[in-house]
Amino acid sequence: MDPSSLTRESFAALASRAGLSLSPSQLKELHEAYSHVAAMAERVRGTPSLTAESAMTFAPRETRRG
Amino acid sequence: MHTIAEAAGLIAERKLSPVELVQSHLDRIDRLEGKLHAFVKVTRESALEEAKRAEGEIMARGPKGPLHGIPIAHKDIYSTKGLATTAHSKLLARYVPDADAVTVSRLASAGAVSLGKLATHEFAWGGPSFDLPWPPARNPWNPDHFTGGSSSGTGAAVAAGLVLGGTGSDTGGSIRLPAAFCGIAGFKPSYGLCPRTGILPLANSLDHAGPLAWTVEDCAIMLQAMAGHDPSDPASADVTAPDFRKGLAPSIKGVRVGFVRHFHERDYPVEEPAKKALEAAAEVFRGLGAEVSDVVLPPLQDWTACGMIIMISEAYAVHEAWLKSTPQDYGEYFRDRVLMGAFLSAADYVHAQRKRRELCAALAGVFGEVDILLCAITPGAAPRMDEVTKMSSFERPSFSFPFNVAGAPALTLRAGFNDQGLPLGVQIVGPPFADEKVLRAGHHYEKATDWSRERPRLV
Repeated sequence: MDPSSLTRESFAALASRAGLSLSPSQLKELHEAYSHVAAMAERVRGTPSLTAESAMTFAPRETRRG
Repeated sequence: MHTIAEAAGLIAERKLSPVELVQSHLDRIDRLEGKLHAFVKVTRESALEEAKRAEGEIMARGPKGPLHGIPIAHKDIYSTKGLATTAHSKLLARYVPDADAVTVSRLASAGAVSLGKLATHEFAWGGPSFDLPWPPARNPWNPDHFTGGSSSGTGAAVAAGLVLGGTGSDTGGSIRLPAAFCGIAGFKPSYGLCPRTGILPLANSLDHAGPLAWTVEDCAIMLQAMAGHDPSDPASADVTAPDFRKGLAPSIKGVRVGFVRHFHERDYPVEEPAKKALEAAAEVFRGLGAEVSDVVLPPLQDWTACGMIIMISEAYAVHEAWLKSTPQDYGEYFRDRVLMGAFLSAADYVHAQRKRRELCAALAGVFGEVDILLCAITPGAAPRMDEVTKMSSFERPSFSFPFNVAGAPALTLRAGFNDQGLPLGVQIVGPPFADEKVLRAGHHYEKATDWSRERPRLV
């Protein structure tokens, strides 16, 4: 997602979907700061191989310890 | 002021009484706490009781180890049985755990005397905040300046000599940043070396427990008690901890040091005094017989983005219910930072975890060529408190995050002072589970310099 592409209205809709009650000033401030977070989210996307594994791959043997 | 190692030696020789030692630190707390706000709670009575018990045991049978009778304190996200564990938050102001964190219990078993609970940034991320039930800790080198965080109280208390060592946690730099800004040693061990059981989480896959103390040797002593497998922590590594203190002695001649110059020259240029301190540190290592060469890692921005997306996502999941039901009970800094998690997707989190594997592989490749890394920890000395803004951690890359992402052992220690007399730090890093190697390099660096002789000039 282009960090600048999320409008204030879309941002407010995401907050509402998350069940958050944010004041207009809080929404404005968070939306501005979000550009940094969105840029980071974009940065980690890159172009991974279709089969690239997560660092948190489920390992059943490990879960036997409880 | 003694180090842990010095005090332990004197206690073993019956030249220092644990009761007198603990009392002298309680007196120092009485004198300085009003300026520093390092503690959430001082446990005076139980500390003196523990000290008396330790003294009796030592007189009868000798000390059981170098922590017996040593005054320490715990970051207030470490659970303490029967004693409030607040995370410096209104939300947990009355939370009294029914069990100690495993590391608290281990340090107590080693004979350490707890003087209380130390200030933290709220839930280990929200600070420095002025809207919490307790004020933020202040830097003993200059109380107008930031301690770094989130183990802010531990950094301040150790630097001011209120305690000889303390516990911290590190999700994105929270042991190493206060160590750097407060001019002490702080060690983030390998992920999985010290159990997190009973420590309130910020982001489970990045959270590390570890010590802060005046010297690297003192960190090694504390780590010895804290480290070791704990089956109740699913991330705990089933490895035998080596003798960290003994491991400090061998020479570092021939050790290959990779200097990550691009972190502080290209990725995020640091202030001139910090740059000079790094160059001087490289020279110290050369003087000790190490082979120093430049190495290249993925850019800081990649590491920070990866760590930050994971941290925000995991922290949001931990706090989601309270953020919806009682958001007003958080401090503004923590609440608004962690709320960013509401705007990230499941795919963002998975991409970050895929990126993490890629970054770890790159780091492992570099550790095929060198034994340890030398790199920056902060852009300069501690800024003024009022220069630290709510969203500043999103605005620039972090020198500490790479080694949370990789779970690699990382040590911060003093490397000089700026022209305002504020400490500067450097960072030494090793491959996962080469903690001993990192501590050894730090110890020899510390011995070859005289930075640790200077203490804050407190009234």
